[in-house]
Amino acid sequence: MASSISEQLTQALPLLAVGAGQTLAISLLAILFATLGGVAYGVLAQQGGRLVRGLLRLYLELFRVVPVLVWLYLIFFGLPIFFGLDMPAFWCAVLVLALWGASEVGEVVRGGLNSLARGQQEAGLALGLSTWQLYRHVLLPQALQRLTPPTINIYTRIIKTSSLAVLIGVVEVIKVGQQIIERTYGSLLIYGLLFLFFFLVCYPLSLASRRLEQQWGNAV
Amino acid sequence: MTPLLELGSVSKQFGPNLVLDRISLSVRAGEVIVILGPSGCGKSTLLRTLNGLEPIQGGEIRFDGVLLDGATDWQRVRQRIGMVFQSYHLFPNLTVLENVLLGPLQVQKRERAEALLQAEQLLTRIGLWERRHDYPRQLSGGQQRIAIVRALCMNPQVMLFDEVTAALDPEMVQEVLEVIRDLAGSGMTLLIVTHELAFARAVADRIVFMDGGHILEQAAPHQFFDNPRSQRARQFLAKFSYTNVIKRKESA
Amino acid sequence: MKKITSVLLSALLGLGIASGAAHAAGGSLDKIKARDKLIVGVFTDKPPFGYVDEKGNYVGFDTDLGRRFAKDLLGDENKIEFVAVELASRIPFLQSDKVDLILANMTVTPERREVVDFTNPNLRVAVQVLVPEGSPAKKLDDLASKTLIVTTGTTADIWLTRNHPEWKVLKFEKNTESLQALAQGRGDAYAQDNLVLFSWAKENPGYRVLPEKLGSEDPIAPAVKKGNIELRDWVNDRLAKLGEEKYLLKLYDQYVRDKLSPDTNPNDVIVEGGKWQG
Repeated sequence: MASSISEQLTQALPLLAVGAGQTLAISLLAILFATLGGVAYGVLAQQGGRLVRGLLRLYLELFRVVPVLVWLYLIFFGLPIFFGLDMPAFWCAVLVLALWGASEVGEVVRGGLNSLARGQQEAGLALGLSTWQLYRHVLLPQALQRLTPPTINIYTRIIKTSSLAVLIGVVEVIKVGQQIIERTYGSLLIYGLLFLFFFLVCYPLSLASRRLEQQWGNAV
Repeated sequence: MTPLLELGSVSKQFGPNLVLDRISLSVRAGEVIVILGPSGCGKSTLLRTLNGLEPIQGGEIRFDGVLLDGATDWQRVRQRIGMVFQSYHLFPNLTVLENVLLGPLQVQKRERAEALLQAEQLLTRIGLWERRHDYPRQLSGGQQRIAIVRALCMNPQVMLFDEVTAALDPEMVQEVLEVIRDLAGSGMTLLIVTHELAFARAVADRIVFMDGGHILEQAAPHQFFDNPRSQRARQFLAKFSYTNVIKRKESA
Repeated sequence: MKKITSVLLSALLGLGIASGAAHAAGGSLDKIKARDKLIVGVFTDKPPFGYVDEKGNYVGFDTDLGRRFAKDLLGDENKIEFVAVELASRIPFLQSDKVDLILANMTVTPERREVVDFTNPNLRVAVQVLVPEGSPAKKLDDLASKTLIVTTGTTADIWLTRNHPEWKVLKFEKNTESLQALAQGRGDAYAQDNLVLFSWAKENPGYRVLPEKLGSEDPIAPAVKKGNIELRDWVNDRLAKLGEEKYLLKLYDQYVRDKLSPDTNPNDVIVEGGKWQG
């Protein structure tokens, strides 16, 4: 049983680092895919026909109504049982978090595109731009400028929600913290370190969002 | 000679409203047409059917003899029929130069050096070449002229102007009108929707007067302004008679 | 919410199995040998049964037993992969074939028997009552007119509700909260799994555990996927052999003895040889 604070720290830090690595890996991958998926969703929701928009709506509602935890369970435990497919817990967590994140980012992108003056679209089309070119050069750059605060919010929520992966066996940083606490009872120290970890990860995101907003603000 | 643009009995509906009612119009290459009429008469909509921004429900449109319909590659048509809007709609995320070069480089896939040369010529002509690296919101004027340059850089055959001075401060209006007048003089085919009657009179080859989705009258400018044939045209002009009188007195 | 979720999901997964979509569990020993690795689901934050030591190794009474199984089956105790499980995920891990064995302090209940197969037990648990040292109570009925504390959803909670609905019972969501309430004197006694009480009493002198057991004593056993008779029988065979060398007692001495009050009888806690007489 560890006694002094420095002794506890020396023991805990390497273990927490491994857990932190898991948390970061899952979160960053999920954020990447959620962003890509979200932009695709937003553009499709604006441009797509009724069938496409209906499907997107269904997807959105499924992830709004069903908790992430239940999705994790269903996919991780359900796939082998119902379909004989096996997915490692890590990737299952990334997949579920990415799907959930994409639905949220997608709604933000859709709103951002929607709020752009329709004239921007018409002026672009009148120049002979294809839909893809229109989005790439005119609409998305403008929409992105408005998107940063809500999207950063979604990113931090993905990072925090990643801890649910514990229920499918992923030993992420909070779980490592609990493992240490149950052995040492040093909950204050461990939770202090966890606090620090999440702060160090999420705060730069928030700063970056503000910086990007200002930078793009100069152009609009 | 085949007309460059031909509308045959074109109709368009917005929900229950018949905005264009069997419009027929013929435009020769090099003609400058000014479309006049009270608000809601359908003149903007007419313009917008020509580059596919508004689909039509009846009749047909022919450009250079080719029918424009659902199968048309509007991207290619729009490179030959350019349009400038009332709210100019410069792209705020691009600089002036980037705005102008976007079409030539991305759509027409032209060499950058060549496109840049044309952009320089056009921007210099309107005196805004030094501002080419500024963003639109940094400009205190000239956005509409830049929008015109942006459209011109695509080398269109036809230019559509949709009330391009209506949203401008009075001081800016003259500059824009001068650009359009220069274009008219160069032999380009123009279709202009405007409220600037004196300008219309000075620049048009033909006035097309619309009301309630119909073309009521087409005539040469002096004929239209001095001797309008239809009652509605007379009423329309009467509203501007005060301005007309002043202008006529000034030019006498 | 967690409880409802786990019940719902277990039911859902159970449906999946019933629908015949699951693969057969036969030939499982061959599968493990072919893989050259035994996959065991254990707790990683519940000392002394399954936890992580200061070097980050998975250790504990249950965990080490898993290593011994790996050694006996595959020749090397390191040919093992541990999966960190939670209370609610133990059964799904078995049902979905993601682990061969669960060694996570799972009490045998009729409901669980329907979805997994238990081997012979390695531990036992009963509900007993903790009272302050100075309490006059010697048996359960002495507490009839007092306030009892329970943690919601535990066996103690269920038993008291069923057998003494008229008694005054104070309920808390978490074990730690219940213990705190007892310490603060908000209740006169705490009914809970005896292991929890034994270990808490060790850390907190001034309390004792009444010897009387509420309800029956229940076996705690390793579990395998339903239908995995091969592995089940192998484990039972092993447990019997390990009983002869008093292996579980050794693990008890290594991990458990210090955690419990010194007057605890090991045979109140472990089941040597898998022999259950309950």
